[in-house]
Amino acid sequence: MLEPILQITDLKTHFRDSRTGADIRACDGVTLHLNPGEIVGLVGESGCGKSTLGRTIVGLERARSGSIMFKGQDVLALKGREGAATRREIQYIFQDPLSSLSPRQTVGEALNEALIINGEGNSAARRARTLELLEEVSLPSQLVDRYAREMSGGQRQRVCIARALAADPKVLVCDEPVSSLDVSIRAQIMNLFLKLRDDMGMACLLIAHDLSIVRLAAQRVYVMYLGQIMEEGQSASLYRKPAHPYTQALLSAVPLTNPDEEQSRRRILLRGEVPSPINPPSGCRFRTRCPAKQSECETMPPLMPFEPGHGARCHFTGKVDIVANAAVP
Amino acid sequence: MNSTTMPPLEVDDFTVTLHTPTLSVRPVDGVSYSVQAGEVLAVVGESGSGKTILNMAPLDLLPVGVDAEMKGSVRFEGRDLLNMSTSELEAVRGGGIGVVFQDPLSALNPVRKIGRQLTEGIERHLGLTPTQAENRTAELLTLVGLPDPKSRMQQYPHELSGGQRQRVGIAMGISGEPRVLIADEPTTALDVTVQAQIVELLKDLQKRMGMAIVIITHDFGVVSGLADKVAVMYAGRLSELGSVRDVLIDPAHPYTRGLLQSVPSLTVPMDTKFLGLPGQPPNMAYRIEGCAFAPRCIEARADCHVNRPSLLSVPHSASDRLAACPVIVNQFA
Ligand SMILES: Nc1ncnc2c1ncn2[C@@H]1O[C@H](COP(=O)(O)OP(=O)(O)OP(=O)(O)O)[C@@H](O)[C@H]1O
Ligand SMILES: Nc1ncnc2c1ncn2[C@@H]1O[C@H](COP(=O)(O)OP(=O)(O)OP(=O)(O)O)[C@@H](O)[C@H]1O
Ligand SMILES: [Mg+2]
Ligand SMILES: [Mg+2]
Repeated sequence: MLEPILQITDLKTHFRDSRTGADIRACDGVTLHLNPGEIVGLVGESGCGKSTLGRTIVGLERARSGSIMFKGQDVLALKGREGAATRREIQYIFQDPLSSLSPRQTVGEALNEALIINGEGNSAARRARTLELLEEVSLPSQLVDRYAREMSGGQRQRVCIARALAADPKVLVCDEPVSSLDVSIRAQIMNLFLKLRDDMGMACLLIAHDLSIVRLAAQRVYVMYLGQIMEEGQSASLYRKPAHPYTQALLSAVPLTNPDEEQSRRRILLRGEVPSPINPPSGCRFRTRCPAKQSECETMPPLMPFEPGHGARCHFTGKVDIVANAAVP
Repeated sequence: MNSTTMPPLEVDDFTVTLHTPTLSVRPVDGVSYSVQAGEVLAVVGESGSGKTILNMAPLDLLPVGVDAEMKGSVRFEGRDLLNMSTSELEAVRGGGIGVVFQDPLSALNPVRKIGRQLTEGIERHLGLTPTQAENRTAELLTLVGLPDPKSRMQQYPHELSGGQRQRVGIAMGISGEPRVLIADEPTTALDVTVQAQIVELLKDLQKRMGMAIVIITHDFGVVSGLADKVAVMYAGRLSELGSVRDVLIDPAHPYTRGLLQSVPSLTVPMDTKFLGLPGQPPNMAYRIEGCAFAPRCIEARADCHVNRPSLLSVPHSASDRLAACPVIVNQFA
């Protein structure tokens, strides 16, 4: 068995509601791992805690409890200079590119700085590497002298990718890294990630809402809902036979490019409000919106194995298909 | 002029040149189209091809300090936005024309509560009392799928997730009940279920209130589910313009074809690589002589590199359709 490069166990990150002081349980007991040279997808509804999880991994939010083991150390316990050095091997690509770029730095200056931090002492080498990075993310070289405000949204997003790659990360946590790119440049960037995975053994946690991209890029996928993992498995198995009703609904909602097929396809539209992470439902967190819920669902289901390496947090794992309208036994 | 037939938005030979201390670029170069009431136009195309500048420059919504020179005309209900005074433009924005920004954070003030930011505009543009405006704000937040709106209104932008902020931006864009909505990539941070809900909401506004919508997007699922017409941009120019069915099912321009072939689906074999167009986008700082796509085009002939192609009508299309490619248009004939 391969030793994971990143092992997250029962991680909880909560916020305080500024008005009432109540606990916002954004990330509420997540266990997941990344193997070296593996791209793992993290998908789930807007607001379910994906960015909170990603930000906690790189130390931008403080965990309440749990552990994040990286190369035999718990990064949550790391401090000072040693912590910074270890953390540098885990890079994060922000969901909001504009707010993570300094308005006072040109593209070239930002990349140069990242290369200095990474220990590249030779300025000619840094300049050469800067141009190489721009080319890798399909940006024309004349953008080196531009400021963030002087670029398009997708150009900024690619600068953030280039900056993260400048650190030669062992683990890349990317939060919607290609969402503002056209599909052709998206393909180039995804192929770059696949190449870094295969050539450098880079591991990557890919947070993305585009399920078709995750399917092609990720060997394994985690599906998150209201702060918890609902289903996990090999992509091949999970996409072919989604076991959790939430995953089934999610996959049925993927829109199709052909307008005729898009009008006529069968899809599950989830009814009901998304519950608040301040007061999540008892038992199964999805039960308030699940078309297949039963009285059993009032108790929290464990992760139930389904196929090898594939399991779901549903009492009826393997017995429910809400899309085909199959009755629950 | 007959107001029942006049399109609320008419863009005519519109060109934008940006001047910086060191260089000039032309991100929008001779673009023309119109959008009828109750019609949805999707603007798609290459990242950096000018989609945001095309839609934001006429409304004076480019970042401060950008020196933009504009030519041609962009008429809102017959009045040219390029000739309007600052105060006239301000009245149009948020009133007749609603805007959803590509970067939701830049549209929101980080140190003010979500609720106040929304109610203010509503009070001003709809002439409501503060209480009415607050109720309307809560309604809007529910419409965009944010439950418990009263407590959301008490939060600051950084306390929201990316997709939640984006939906506040959408609520803001439609809050003034505009007749034209310009939405710049409004669904990039939304999962498929919330996205489906937003698409339904926009369709409803378009049908019920006759809103004209221009939506910039990279998501062809959104295009096929929402739009009537598609405009495809490459290097500041329109390369194809036509009905959704014509353009998505039988694309004419080689760039549109390459783009659509790059869309991954849930049915392609799993061990394939991602398919993209080979080659790099052009350098916009130089004046491009022939077709901007020619260096990457498998159909290109010698004169494609010399003569700038004009938009030609594509024969045998279900509805009117234009493509800037004489080579392909000949093949359709
Ligand atoms: N600083 C904060 N203070 C209070 N609440 C927060 C804060 N950051 C996030 N939250 C809340 O935590 C929950 C999870 O947010 P998170 O940003 O992790 O979601 P996400 O899965 O990344 O969503 P999206 O897909 O929309 O980006 C949300 O309900 C959000 O409102
Ligand atoms: N202030 C500026 N100075 C110089 N060039 C600029 C400036 N702002 C934008 N540009 C350039 O103008 C071109 C068009 O930008 P625009 O933001 O309209 O692209 P876009 O089509 O919206 O792309 P995306 O899909 O990535 O958002 C880009 O190539 C960009 O680099
Ligand atoms: Mg997020
Ligand atoms: Mg843009």
